[in-house]
Amino acid sequence: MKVLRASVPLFAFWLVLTGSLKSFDLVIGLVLSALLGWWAAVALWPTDDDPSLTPTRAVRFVFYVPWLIKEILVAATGVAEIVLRPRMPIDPLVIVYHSPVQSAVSRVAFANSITLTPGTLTVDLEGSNYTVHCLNKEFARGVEAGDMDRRIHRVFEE
Amino acid sequence: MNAVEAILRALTVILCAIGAFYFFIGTVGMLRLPDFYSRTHAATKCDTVGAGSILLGLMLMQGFGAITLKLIALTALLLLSSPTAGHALARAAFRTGLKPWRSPEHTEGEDAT
Repeated sequence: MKVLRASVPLFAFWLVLTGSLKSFDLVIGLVLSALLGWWAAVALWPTDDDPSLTPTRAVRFVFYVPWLIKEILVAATGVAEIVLRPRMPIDPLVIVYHSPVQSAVSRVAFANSITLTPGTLTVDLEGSNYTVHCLNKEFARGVEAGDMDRRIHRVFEE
Repeated sequence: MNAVEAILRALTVILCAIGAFYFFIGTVGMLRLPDFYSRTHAATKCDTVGAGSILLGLMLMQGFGAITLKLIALTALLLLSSPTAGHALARAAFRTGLKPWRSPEHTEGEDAT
């Protein structure tokens, strides 16, 4: 079962990369993804955890991405404006933000989302305390509003 | 070249121009910002938007097909690896004890909010 869960995505990735349906390529891909999937299941995931990306979560995640892209664009424009101003009105500060998200996946997703959004950078992560470097108070307020981790919580933990 | 193709081509040009603009901002920010952390902001984030926009433009030019799927995979990789690398850099600096730069108003009287 675990072998299958690793092999199927690998084979799909093979199809994307080769972009060919010739029988030779297909056979090579099948053999390779079966071998790699078996190796991954044995060596990389020795514990029997629940899959962290269930179908429901995958669908929710797809809906999370457009919102994240919108946030990234808004914040990137903000940073561009700051950088281009002759006086460059920055006032960097470091905040420690405590987030209630629990699971490993959602903590990684949250930390990466913060870093992806321009103007905020996850510097350190210990337990559920995120040390975030912000270019100015506006960006800090954006993190402290807690909108992003509420969404992460909805995607990965419900 | 029919009308749809022409519109797609125009969108590609616009998106690639936007991408180049954000790369430019990233470079300017890299040169102008005062310290390591804020430079990391410029280097990792503006490049994400810039590269994402250019890749999106290339997808429009290619239409649906194997190459577009490859471009989507590339975008996903970029969205995952770019913040991770930025975080790794910043964390290494933070753990080594590099203090973030504060604006001059804060360094004199510490309790000025």
